Amino acid sequence: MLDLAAPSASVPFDPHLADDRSDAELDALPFGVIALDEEGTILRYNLYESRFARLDRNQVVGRNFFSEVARCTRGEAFEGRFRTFVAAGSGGASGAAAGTLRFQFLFDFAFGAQEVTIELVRAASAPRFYLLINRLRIAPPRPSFPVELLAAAQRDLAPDEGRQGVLRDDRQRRFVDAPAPLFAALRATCDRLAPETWSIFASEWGVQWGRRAAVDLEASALEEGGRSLRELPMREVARRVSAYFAERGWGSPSFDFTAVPEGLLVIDVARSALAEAAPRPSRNLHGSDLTCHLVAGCLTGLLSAVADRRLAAREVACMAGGAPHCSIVVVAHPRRSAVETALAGGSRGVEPIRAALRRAPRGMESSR
Amino acid sequence: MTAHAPPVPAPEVTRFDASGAPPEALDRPAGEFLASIPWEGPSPDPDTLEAAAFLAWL
Repeated sequence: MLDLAAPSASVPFDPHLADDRSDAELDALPFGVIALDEEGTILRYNLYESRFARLDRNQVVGRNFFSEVARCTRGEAFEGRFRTFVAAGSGGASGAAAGTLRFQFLFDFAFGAQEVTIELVRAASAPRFYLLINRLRIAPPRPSFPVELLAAAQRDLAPDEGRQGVLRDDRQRRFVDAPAPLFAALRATCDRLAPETWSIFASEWGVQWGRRAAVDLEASALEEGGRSLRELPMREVARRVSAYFAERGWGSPSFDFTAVPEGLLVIDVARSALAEAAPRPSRNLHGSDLTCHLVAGCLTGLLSAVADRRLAAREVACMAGGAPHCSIVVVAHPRRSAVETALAGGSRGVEPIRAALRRAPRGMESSR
Repeated sequence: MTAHAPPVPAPEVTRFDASGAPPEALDRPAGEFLASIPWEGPSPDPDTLEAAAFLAWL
């Protein structure tokens, strides 16, 4: 069984070695990451920072962080520290003090102020510098702050993009209106070219999506109430996760906590867009009656991030196979093999999977 | 005339169920609630578990 990528929370992040991390790995981190060269030109910009600054990384990479993007950082409190830090390194300073600098700062955007801690880190292998940015507090805009020094807005960096086929929502997130036939076409393409890959491809795609969705939901939680997802009541997190899918047209998930004492969550999805786009069972040449791997993968990535442990969400019944709604079970990753074995043996539905899990030996592998 | 149609407003989510848990449990912080789930599975019950499966737990 191919193992899906582990959630990033389980991999320690060493900022001095950030050059070794892919953009996808940086995008899954729960804090902002910006890489600068010695002049302050932006080289890398992760999803979390993009979400909080409401800037598209395609417009900020290559620009100067201090003069073009975050003009509120001009002055001694931020840019001055950066210049001194860079100069100290080029002068031959060594040791931990030359490799890391921490300070607090207040970013001023037109849409609000953000109190942050900055960790400025020198990359180990190149003249590059990483800003690690942790949000401490989200506040309304400061009326007294000079407008000309506010951090740039997306419309400042790309004023004509509305005429260039770019759609954005109120948080400046770019989106694409993806019609349901696009997913039917994707599935049909996979069925034609490599039908055996559909489940693993869609699952992994979903996991990667779920990690990014977690960043988005985390940012929304902090912006709206100053609390992280893990601090919100479970009921509210379940509501937000459900709304994340429903508001985007994927169908309507609902959480069932009945089996929590047995170590599993159940999520039922009504009117799944994927299930309704799939070939009907009678015409499905490849015998796959479970088709919502993308949504299950997304729940894997999302819930693993919130739980800070490695979970696995797996569809166990699907409308595409004739079930009244799609059902997804969430278990610790080591118990996923028991679910897969039961599914391979023909079990479908939550109750048969629960029964199979009761019979399975406890997973000995650590799921953290 | 704009080059694209305005975004379609997201539908209001009218259905949300979170069934099967005591209300007070769902009021707990999500991190705490999720940490409390016995993800490794429940302790074995020798009265209901088949002998071979029970022995595998030991």
